[in-house]
Amino acid sequence: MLSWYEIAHGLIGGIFVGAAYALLSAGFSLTWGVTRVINLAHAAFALLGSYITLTLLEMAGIDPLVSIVFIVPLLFLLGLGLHYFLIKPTAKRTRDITGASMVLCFGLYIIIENLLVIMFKSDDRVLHSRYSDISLAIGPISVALTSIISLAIAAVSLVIIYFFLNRTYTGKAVRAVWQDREGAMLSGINVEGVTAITYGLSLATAGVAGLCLVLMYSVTPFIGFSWLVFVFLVAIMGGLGSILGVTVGGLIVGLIVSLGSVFIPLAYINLVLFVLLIIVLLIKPSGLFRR
Amino acid sequence: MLEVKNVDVFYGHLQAIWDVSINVKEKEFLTILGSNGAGKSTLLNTIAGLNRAAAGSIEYKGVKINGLEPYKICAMGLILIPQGRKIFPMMNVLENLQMGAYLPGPRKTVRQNLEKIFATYPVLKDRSGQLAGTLSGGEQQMLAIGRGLMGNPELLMLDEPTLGLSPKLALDMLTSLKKFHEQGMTLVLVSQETMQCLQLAERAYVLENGRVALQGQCSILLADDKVRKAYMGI
Repeated sequence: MLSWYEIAHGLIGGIFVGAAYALLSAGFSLTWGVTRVINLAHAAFALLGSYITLTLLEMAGIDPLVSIVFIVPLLFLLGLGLHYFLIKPTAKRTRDITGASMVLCFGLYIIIENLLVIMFKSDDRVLHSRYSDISLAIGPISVALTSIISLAIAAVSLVIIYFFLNRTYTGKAVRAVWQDREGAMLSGINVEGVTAITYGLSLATAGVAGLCLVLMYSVTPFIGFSWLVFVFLVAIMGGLGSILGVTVGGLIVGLIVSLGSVFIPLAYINLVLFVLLIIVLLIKPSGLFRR
Repeated sequence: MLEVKNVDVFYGHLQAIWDVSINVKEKEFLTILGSNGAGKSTLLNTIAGLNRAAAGSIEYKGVKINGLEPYKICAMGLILIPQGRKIFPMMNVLENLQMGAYLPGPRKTVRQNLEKIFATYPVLKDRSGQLAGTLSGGEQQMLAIGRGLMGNPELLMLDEPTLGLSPKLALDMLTSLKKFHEQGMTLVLVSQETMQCLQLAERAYVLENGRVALQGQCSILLADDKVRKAYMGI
């Protein structure tokens, strides 16, 4: 018997997980749009953010909120490295960067996954911070403090990305390169530099999303793959090129997963999601929020 | 001001430009004519840094610029308004113009330049909040030129700015170019409107199959029977 309590619980849970997926997908959508690269390793970099959070807390007692200060610059640098040492040389040698990059990034994904197994073993890991085991009551529903913190971090990050892309010169240049690469070059935009920044931003936000997810869920080195599935769903539903789209897409996917698990067995939820994805692709292939 | 010497350009294995040499003098209004596929756009794109010259050299203000990245060439005041406009369709008119002033130098002169551009093309001011992709063809062309002007060009190259415009709009467009020239800008215009170009510009090059076929003062070319027959159909 379903109760309103369960449905409300599902709704709130959907918003929490949806916001984290939205943040996770934002960077993926950015690099896909700007460079036509489908970064299959994106979720692995998020997982790196999760394990950095875990390690900093366990080894040095660093608060998960403080670990953002480490994750963002580190992943940003990794993003620059990814662009200059892997993507750029590959793009120079191929005409089909989308296909080539998928293979390249898939390989990278496997490397990162295996490195994580070597370093951290393949057991489930749970973050035990001082925020764990605290619940807040929203009406009759109790919500874990970690979920609220995760939501806050994801929301603030998405707002920052939105403002960066829409209010700063560099952010606008990212959109310009996305919309017309040659037009951007002729406008005096250093396309190479802007692309590198895009990768830095993409991986930095992935790392923060990894932090959000590890606040709420346990992780193993293999969970990246199921995250990647969600990233694809959100990016395609939201349409490439729109942070608003990614946010709404993330919330939709989150709500379906969370509410769906109230009504139907968890095993069928992926089925529902992918049927929905196919419907979206058939009706509006450019995504729900692309004009 | 601009000196292109013996340049060859290839697309893959296909050679598009053969041993082309042109020069542009300061404050000059130059036009490059020729039929479709003659290599006009290739030449301009190569000067702007989008294509690589396989042989020869390109010098701007005495500095070798072939091989430089396009944004560095922009920074020197050599700006191309490309064929097909290449504006940013999902950004509004104002943002498009801002992108033209992305480099540190032009970013200091955004306000003055906006005023100038809005005075020349008032419709851009009215539509400044509108997405560029929703503008009409003529307005998009004005936007593309406006974006180029934001970068403080000393030498402005325009590739087919009248393509797809109605005769009236095309004439307005060419008239606005004349104004830029009178204000002291050096112009290189590529267009299919042979007659009008020859009347507007001071000197012309005619390209044929990727080679310079003719060159000279516009007044002389206008009077030339061969030119009239081949390019104006009279």
